[in-house]
This record gives sequence, C-alpha cells and structure tokens, in this order.
Amino acid sequence: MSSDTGHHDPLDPGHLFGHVQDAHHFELPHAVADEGKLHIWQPFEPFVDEVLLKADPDFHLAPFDLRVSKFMLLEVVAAALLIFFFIALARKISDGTPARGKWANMLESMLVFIRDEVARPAIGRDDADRFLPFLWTMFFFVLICNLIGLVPWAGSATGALGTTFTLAMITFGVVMTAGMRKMGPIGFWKSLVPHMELPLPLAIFLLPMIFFIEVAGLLIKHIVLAVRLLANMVAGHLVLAVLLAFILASSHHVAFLGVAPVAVLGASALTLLELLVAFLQAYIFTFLSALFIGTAIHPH
Amino acid sequence: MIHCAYRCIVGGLITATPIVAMAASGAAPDPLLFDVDLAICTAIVFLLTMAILRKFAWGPISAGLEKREQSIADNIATAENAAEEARKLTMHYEEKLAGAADEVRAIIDEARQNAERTGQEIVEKAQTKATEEGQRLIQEVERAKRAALREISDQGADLAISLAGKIVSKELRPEDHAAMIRSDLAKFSETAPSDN
Repeated sequence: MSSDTGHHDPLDPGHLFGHVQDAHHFELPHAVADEGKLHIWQPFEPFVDEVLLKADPDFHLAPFDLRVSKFMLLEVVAAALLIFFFIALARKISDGTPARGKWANMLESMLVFIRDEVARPAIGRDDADRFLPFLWTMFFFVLICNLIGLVPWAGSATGALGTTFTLAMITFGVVMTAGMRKMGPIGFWKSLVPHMELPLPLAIFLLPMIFFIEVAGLLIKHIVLAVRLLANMVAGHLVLAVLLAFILASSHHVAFLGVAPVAVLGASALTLLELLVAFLQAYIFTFLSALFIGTAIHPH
Repeated sequence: MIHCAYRCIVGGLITATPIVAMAASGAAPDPLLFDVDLAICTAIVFLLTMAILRKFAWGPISAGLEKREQSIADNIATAENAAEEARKLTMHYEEKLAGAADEVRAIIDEARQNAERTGQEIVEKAQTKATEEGQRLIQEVERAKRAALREISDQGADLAISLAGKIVSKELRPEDHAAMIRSDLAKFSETAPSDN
C-alpha cells in the first residue's frame, strides 16, 4: 500500500478500494513517482484517439476500453514467472533424474501433490493425467497472482472479478468439454438429471424443472468458484488497507503513538494470514475444479 | 468503514451478478466490478501460458516423473527378486550345510567301523601268526629232540661196542660188528626212552 498525502480521508471507501482494485497506474512512494502514481503506457491510446474517435467522435468502445491495466501486467508477470520456473524444472527432471536443489524439490513436491492428492482422487487414476496440465497451470497461476498481491506496490490480479470469473469460466468450459467427450453431448445433459422412477404426468412436470435446476446449479457452482476467490483476496487486502489507513487517520492525533504500532503489528500478522490464504485459495480453486471435472465424467 | 466494505462484499456475494463496467480507476467502490478487457486479457494469458507450459514443461515433467516412478518400481522389483534369490540361496546353503554335517557324521562312522574292522583283522592276523609260530617252534623242538636222540643212540652204540670190545678183548670183524649193532639196536629200540 502506498502512503497517502492526506488530501483525502484515508478511511474513505473509494480511496481504500482504490488500493485493492485494478487501476491504470502503479502506486509507488511519492519520493519515487509523481503524486505516487506510475502511469502505465497505453499502446492502444493513439489508435483509439487518432483512428476510432477521429472517424466517429461519438464512438463508444464499451464494454471495452482498450487500456492496459495493472492487473493485466501482473498477470503477464505471473505467466512469465510460471513459464520460467517450470521450463527450468522440466529441463532438470525430464530425463527421469531426481530433482536437485531446494527450489526444484519444492516445485516438484507441489506438482506431485496436485497430481496425487487432488487430481487423481477427484477425477480417477485413468482420466486424471489428461487434465493435469490444466490443473497445474490453474493452481500455479492463481497462486502466483495471489502471492504477487503481497508484494508492496503491486496488486493481486485475483482480486478482480474479471480475472476470477474468466478463470472460473475456463474451468466451466473444461468441465463441459470433458463431460461431453466422455458421455456424448446428449448423454452429458441427460446425466445432469438423476434417474428417478416417476409416473409419467409427474415426470413431465418434474424432470424439466430438475434439469433446469441442475443446469443453473452447474453454472452457479462455477460462478461461486469465481466469487469465493475474489472475496477472499479483496477482503484480505481491504482489511490490510483499513489497518494501515488507521495510521493515517490518526496521524494528527496523539492516539497515533498507540495506533501506529498496533496497526503495523496487526498488518504484519494479517499479511502472514494472507500468505496462508494465497495458498489455500489456489488449492481450493484447483481442488474444486478437479471435483467438478470428476463429477462431469463420472456422474454416478 | 469495515461495515461498508463487508456490506459491499456480502451484497455482491448475494446478488452474484457480474457488473459490466469500464475501467476500475475513478469508479465508485464496487468489488464486483467486471472489466471486460481484463477478462479477455486473463483468458489470453492463461490459455497461452497453459499451451506453452503444456508443450515445454508439463509434458516433459510428467514424462520425467513417470520415468522416475517406473525406474523406482523396477528397482524395487529387482531388489525384491534379488532378496528372493538370496533367500533361496540361503535356504539351499543351509540345506547343504545340514547335509554336510550328516555326511561328516557318516564319514566318521565309516572311518570308525573301518578302524574297528582293521584292528580286528590285525589282532586276528597276529593271533594266527602267533599260533603258526608256536606250531613251527613245537615242530622244530620235536625235530631237534629226535635228532638229539638219534645222536645219543648212535654214540651210545659206539660206546657200547668199544666197551664190549675192550671187555672181550677180541677184535670183531665188520660183519660181526654190524650184526651185533643190529641186534643191540633192536634191543635198544624195544627199550625206548621216556619223553623227558
């Protein structure tokens, strides 16, 4: 979190959310950047201004804005880190030799954990390995995005619905594809409705309702997947922002002497909790994705 | 303040409706703000990352892990086979050792029997030889005794004749002499000496 100039109320919700949400600038100390903001270079701005708006001044881009945001860059950083670390690991262990070094062993143990404790129990030994690339990428992408959120002046890309909802929808796509490939397009939709011995009039009335509820449930499960991750990341960062904002709020008062140490200690403790939450939420997201895939390909 | 934050989050959770909005900055605080550009960017970055990692990392890592697990399984199987082989060999050698002890015992028994038999034979041979030697000695003594008797007999006759010649002072002719000897021997034979 960056320091505040004192022009705004530090406990103003809009200001606090500004620290947690996506932006078109990085917040840095005032000593480093003007007004504490490092604006992100916008490669599409000339195109929008010179081409689109010139051609039609009333042109509306919505819902797009063609602007590069902080979270987009951090996602690219996360992806680059992921590619760098795991290609390096692959070079070390692809010939079957054991991983050497603490770092390689740590990464490998996490990969093996996802494979043996998440994918295979949830999906089944025969099918699990096909989904491992997806689950491994999902776990580490979410994890690194969460962890980047703990770096000062950075931010957590998983603290935006745009990110978590997209990841959940990719999971939804994988679940649907897996289910339809296993049981056929019709078989998959039929498998959503549990088999029941019902009299025909009741079946005509009930089965479509059950089908509708199940389809809605399937969609809601994935939306909740997105909201759970989002809420955890936003809430954690927001509490940290509030704690640190207490320091600013009390800065013109003698209570500052008591508030500041407590807030720093509290924020430090909560940052450690956030570290746990970062791993836990990545695990939960991956574990539930694996469970949904398992349910789709083994409906009964 | 915190209450406001929770209200926003909980309210958003309940409605769970993605809100299509423009960029985040400057907008009213809304945790469920949905940035379409960010969503598209996330999809591209994630899928591209997955594709790259699938080809250059996950595939080789999976293959490496499988290979290592296979080699560990093979090593364990080999070690188990070797242990089984060693167990069989141990049993075999133990059996052989037990057999060797029996064999040694049999050899010792046989040697003892041989020794006993040989000893018996030696004793028997010695006894036979001693008996034979005794017999031979008895026969020799017998022969010597007869020779001595014959000599005594011959000397006795000569002595008797010379005594008789002296007594009768007459010289005998050889024919008379011989006739006298025969008649004296006949008489001497009739009076055979005792065995003592």
